[in-house]
Amino acid sequence: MRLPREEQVVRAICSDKFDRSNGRVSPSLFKGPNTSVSRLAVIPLSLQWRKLAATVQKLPGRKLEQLGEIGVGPLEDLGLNYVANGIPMKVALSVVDDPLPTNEAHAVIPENITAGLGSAICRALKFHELPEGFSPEQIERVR
Amino acid sequence: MPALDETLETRVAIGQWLAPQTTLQWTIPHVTSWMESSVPPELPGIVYAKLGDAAWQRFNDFSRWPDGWAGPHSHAVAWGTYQNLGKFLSAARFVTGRPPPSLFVTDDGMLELSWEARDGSTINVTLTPEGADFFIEARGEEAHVQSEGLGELAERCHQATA
Repeated sequence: MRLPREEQVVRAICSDKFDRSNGRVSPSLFKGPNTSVSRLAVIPLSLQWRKLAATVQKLPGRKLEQLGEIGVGPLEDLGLNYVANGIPMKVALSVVDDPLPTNEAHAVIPENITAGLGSAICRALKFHELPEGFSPEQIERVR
Repeated sequence: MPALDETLETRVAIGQWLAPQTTLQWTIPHVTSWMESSVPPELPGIVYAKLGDAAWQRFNDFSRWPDGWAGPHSHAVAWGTYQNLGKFLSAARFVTGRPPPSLFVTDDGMLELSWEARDGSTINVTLTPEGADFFIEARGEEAHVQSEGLGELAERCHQATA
C-alpha cells in the first residue's frame, strides 16, 4: 500500500553513512532502488531507536548514529522537481509499506534514486541524535 | 594569491606516512574470496595521506566487513573498487585547511568520497570495480567514468572544488 503524503518516515543512519568527524552524511543514504525506511505512524520516534539498532548493528564498527526524518509528501516533491544535467527528471518517488517480522513499521522507496537526488533528499532530512542516556553500548546489549 | 592554509598539496607526503606497523596487519574478514577482500598494500598509506586519520580509521573498518554486512543484498568491498580508489586518490588534490573528503561505503560495497566545493555545493565520487560514478552539484553534472578516466575525473573535481 502506498503511504499517504501526510506520513513521516525515518531512515536509520549508521556509521558507514555518517562521518562524525565533520558531520557529513553520505548521499548514498538514499541511493539505488528499495531504500528501507520506518514509519512513525506505526512506531513512534522514541521507540524506533531500539527497534532499528537491533537490526542494523551486527558488525564491529557499525553503529546506529542518527535517524533522518522526512515526510512522504516532501520526498515525492523532491523527486518531481529534481533536475540533473540541466534536464528536469520528474522522478515519481513513492513510499510503500513493507512490514517485516523484525520491524512492523518497515517501508520501502522502490524507485531508483541517483546520487544527485540522494543529496537533495539528505539536505531535506530532519536529523535526530541518539536520545540522552541511550548509549551505543546499551544498544549492542539489546541485540 | 591563495592563503597559506589553502595551498593545494597532499596532506602528508606518502613517503612520510608513519602509521604503526601493527596497523598494516590487516585481518581478512570472512568473505567468499580472498582476492575480493584483499587491500592493496600501498592503499592504507594513500588513504591516510590524502584523507587523514578519521577516514583511515573508517577505511580500516569497512575493509573488514564481509558480504551481507548490511543485509542479504550487501557486499564486501571488491578488489577492483580498492584499485580504483587508489588510482583516484593518487591523482586527486584536495585543498588543505578545509575538511578533507569523507569516506563512506555503500550497501553494495562501493567506496564513496564526499566533500564540498568552495561555494558549499556537494562533490560526490563513488568508486566502483569498473570506474566511478560522480556528481558535481555546482555543474549539475552526474555521470560515470571508466577506470582509465579516473585521473581526468580527479582534475575535474579539483577544478570544481577550487
